[in-house]
Amino acid sequence: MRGVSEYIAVLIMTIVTLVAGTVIFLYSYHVINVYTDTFSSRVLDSGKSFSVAILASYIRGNQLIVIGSTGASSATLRAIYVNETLRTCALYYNYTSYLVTGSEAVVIPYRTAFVVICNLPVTGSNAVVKLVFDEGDVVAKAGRII
Amino acid sequence: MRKRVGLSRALSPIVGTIIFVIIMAMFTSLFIYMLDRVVNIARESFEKVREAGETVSSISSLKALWSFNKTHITIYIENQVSKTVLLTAIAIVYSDGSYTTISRVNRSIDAKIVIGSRVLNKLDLPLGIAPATTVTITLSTKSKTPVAVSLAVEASPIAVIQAVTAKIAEIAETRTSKITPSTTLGTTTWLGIAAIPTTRNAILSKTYPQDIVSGGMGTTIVRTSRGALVYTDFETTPSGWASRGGNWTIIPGGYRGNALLGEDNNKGIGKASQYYYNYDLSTYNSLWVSTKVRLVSDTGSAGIYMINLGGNRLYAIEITADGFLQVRSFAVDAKGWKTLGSTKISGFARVNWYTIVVSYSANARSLATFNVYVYDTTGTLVASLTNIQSKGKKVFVPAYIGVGVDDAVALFDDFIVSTVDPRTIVVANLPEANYRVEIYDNFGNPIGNATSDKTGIASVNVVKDIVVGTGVDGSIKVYDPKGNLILSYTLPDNILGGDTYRYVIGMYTATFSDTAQLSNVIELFRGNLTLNFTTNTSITLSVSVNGVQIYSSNFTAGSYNLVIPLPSTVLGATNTFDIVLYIISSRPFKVTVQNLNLAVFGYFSDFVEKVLLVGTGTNIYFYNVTMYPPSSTPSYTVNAFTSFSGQAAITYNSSQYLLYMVNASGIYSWNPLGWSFVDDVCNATSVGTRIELVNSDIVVLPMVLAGTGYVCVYDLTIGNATLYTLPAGYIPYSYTSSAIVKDSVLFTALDSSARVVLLMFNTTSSSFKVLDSIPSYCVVGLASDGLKVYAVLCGFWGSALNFDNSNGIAVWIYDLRTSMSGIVVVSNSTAVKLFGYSDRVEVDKDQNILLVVDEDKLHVIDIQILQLMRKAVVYSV
Repeated sequence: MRGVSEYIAVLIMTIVTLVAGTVIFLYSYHVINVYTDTFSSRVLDSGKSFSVAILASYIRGNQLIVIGSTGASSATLRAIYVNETLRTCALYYNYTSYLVTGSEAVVIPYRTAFVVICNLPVTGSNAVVKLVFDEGDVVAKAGRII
Repeated sequence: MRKRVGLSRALSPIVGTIIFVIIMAMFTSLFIYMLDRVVNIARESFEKVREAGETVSSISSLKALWSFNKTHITIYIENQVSKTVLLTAIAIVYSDGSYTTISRVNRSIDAKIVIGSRVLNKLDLPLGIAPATTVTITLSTKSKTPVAVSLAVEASPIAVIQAVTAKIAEIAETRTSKITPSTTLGTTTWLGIAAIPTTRNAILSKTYPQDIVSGGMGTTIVRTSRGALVYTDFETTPSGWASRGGNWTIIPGGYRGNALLGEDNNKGIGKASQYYYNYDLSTYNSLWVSTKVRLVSDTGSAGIYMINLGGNRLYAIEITADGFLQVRSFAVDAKGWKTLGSTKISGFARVNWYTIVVSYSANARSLATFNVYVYDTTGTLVASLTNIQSKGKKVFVPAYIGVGVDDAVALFDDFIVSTVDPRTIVVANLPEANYRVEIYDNFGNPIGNATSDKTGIASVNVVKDIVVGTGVDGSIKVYDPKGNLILSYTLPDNILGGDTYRYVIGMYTATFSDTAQLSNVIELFRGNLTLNFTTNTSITLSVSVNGVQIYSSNFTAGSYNLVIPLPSTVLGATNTFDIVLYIISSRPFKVTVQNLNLAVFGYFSDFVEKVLLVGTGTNIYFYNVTMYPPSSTPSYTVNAFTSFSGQAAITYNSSQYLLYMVNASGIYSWNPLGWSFVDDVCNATSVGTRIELVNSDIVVLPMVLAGTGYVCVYDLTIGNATLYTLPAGYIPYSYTSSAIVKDSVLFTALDSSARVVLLMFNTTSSSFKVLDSIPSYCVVGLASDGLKVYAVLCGFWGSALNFDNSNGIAVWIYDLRTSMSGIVVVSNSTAVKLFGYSDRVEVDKDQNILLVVDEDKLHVIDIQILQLMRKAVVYSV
């Protein structure tokens, strides 16, 4: 019985080995790229949610009032949760009011103070409010003052 | 065929190697690529962490405070960051729940802006604040009352931190109570435990009137005088004694009975150890002192020690283990010990008892002279030093006299302090010459004898045992010239060297006694025995208290009311007074004691209370602050003989019940007997001087000498004052206030920019530390509860530079743990009147309150409310 030529065998083995090595290389390259890109973007993104600061948050009667300010870049307010419940609240800045319902986002320009007022049947002395921006969430605790 | 096989065998390794190299190259490049990515990510992460750290650092270095004056709010911002920061938004929340927000979109609004020396009338955000720049922004609040202020700040590089919900500060309120008299400029206060001097009557065991009727006629001996002020045979631990260092115990093995064993541990004055009668004897300029001493150790010295009132200087009259008699001083003739005289004791044997007898006379700050004699147990003089002198302004009149050891262990017995020479006892009125008088101790041992001269006086040398026997029940025997025993009289109390007695024949006698009881005595300073009696004939009345004859006089028939002062020797810490009346007459008598009373003045443990001391005018007032509000009138008043106008201050030692004061002449201490000089190196050189007591150090600050500021520390243990220069760039000023935290003194001073700063001086390490700057030009008082420092500013901060004290009290609070500071304005409907040059703020840690002494009111502020600082909250965006 005669086998394939020795040259053919060497050629086949060479091709198989190179193809297998290339596939493993490309797969590893892809995995490393995806992993480091994700990690890098998370590092770069870290803190972006804090480009909005809450300056004061308190409860007055049945109104929950949150005063905040944007940083060097604008922020897009998408939704407001009070005690883990989605609420429709009024947003005021630059002498203009907007309604934040959770369905449409409102862009707050850079370095702008804003006020969020939620009319709520709040009976407790404290409430936790979460402002959901496209850039991230900001959570504050509001205490009753009157 | 063989050739083909050979070729293929040669080709295979080559191809294999090439493939291996290619694959290795691919994965090596992959590894390098991966490494590069990881390094980049690490760099980015590091950058992020650094930026976050810088932001946190920036935020904590940015100081922001605010105040309110009914119509306007003033926000004070100080940029202590090394880079410019950008103020981008301001939020103000009012007490009615409304708010004001200011940011870029508001454009220009009316406000008064002071940036350094530049003044603007419009506020435009964002506002850049350069490093080391202060900015004040004053805005109208439209009559609303702000409760919280928040600022949004961008620091470069732009960084973000988690914003925290703003606290809504409450407005602190005070409780006020009236105090009289009104305080003046320069008032200084102290709060703590102090003894309030009190007069108290003793309870007697008998009811009056009482009749005393004479018994039968006979011959007897009557004591006519006694010079001893203090004496003890160390049979038991003597009452009223105290120690400075050393171990002191009563053990068997005394010359007679027990003895006092003293062992030096270098913890007393001059690194020796002292055990002394804890009562001020400095009212006597000259006295005699004697003790028996026997050295146990073969090193060091032991003998009589005399201490000044301040407890930091010594005279020591000792025998040494190598057989010398020496007189030394400590912190008087030199900074430390100095030997003033020394002589060899003849025939010295360390195991023998020796009696040291000292006669001294002293004039403070001038000259003290000592004559010293040492006797062996046979009464033979074995050494003497006469006319030994101590000179200079550190010379003192001994206040506390006792015994001491220096690098030695020694036994002591027969201690006495007397106004007369204690080496002899005189018996007078013997019928003629050659009557023999013998004195025996309670064991029957003969102590001494003598025969009378032609005037009927016999002087018996008792130097062998000056406090005869064990201090009780000695006897005197009298023999006529023929040697017949005609009287053997055992004394009801004790026989002491320096006593004088009278031999009386054919007399009627009677004795009456009562016991006066006190309770809770700490220390008595004065006392009077009041005796109201009638007698039907002429009598001689002697009164003794606790074995000490305090009075003797002749009376004809009639009624008498005597007020007999008690000598210091029967006072001390005594609770029980045995009063004995001894009456003698040539005729039968009846004496009726209508009334007997014993009243004393001193410190009692039930009058040790929490007090607020207020030094104002020329007096120091003790207000009992056990309860709030306290009584408006002081419980006790001390005349300071100095004016509290800023150049005098007070502090108090709660363990020794000593009040300390510093004025331009130096440091003085006070107890109910009066003021005593302590030191003049530390003194009040200028207005604003303060005094604090930290453990055993008296700290006087600031002292200004040749334009340089110092902290002066006077060590009470070694009696030495040391000056410490304030850190470079810091100068004292007339509004200095001070407080104590553990072993440190906190005080205010000015920095090179004339800003008020809070400095700390640690008395243990003798080092300074700069804590923070205080946003006021004037502080009326500083106090601390150990966690926070409270500085009451001269007034309420109304604007950048002006203070107005009509609306409330501004309290600057510094947290010692976090180094954070802020201001709380304590509102009050009534105007407060606070003065400068003062230090009139105290913390009551038990009640958790801050006390502020106003012109005529005491303000009580709950510290719990002060925790809600009115600090403008700064956020980074």
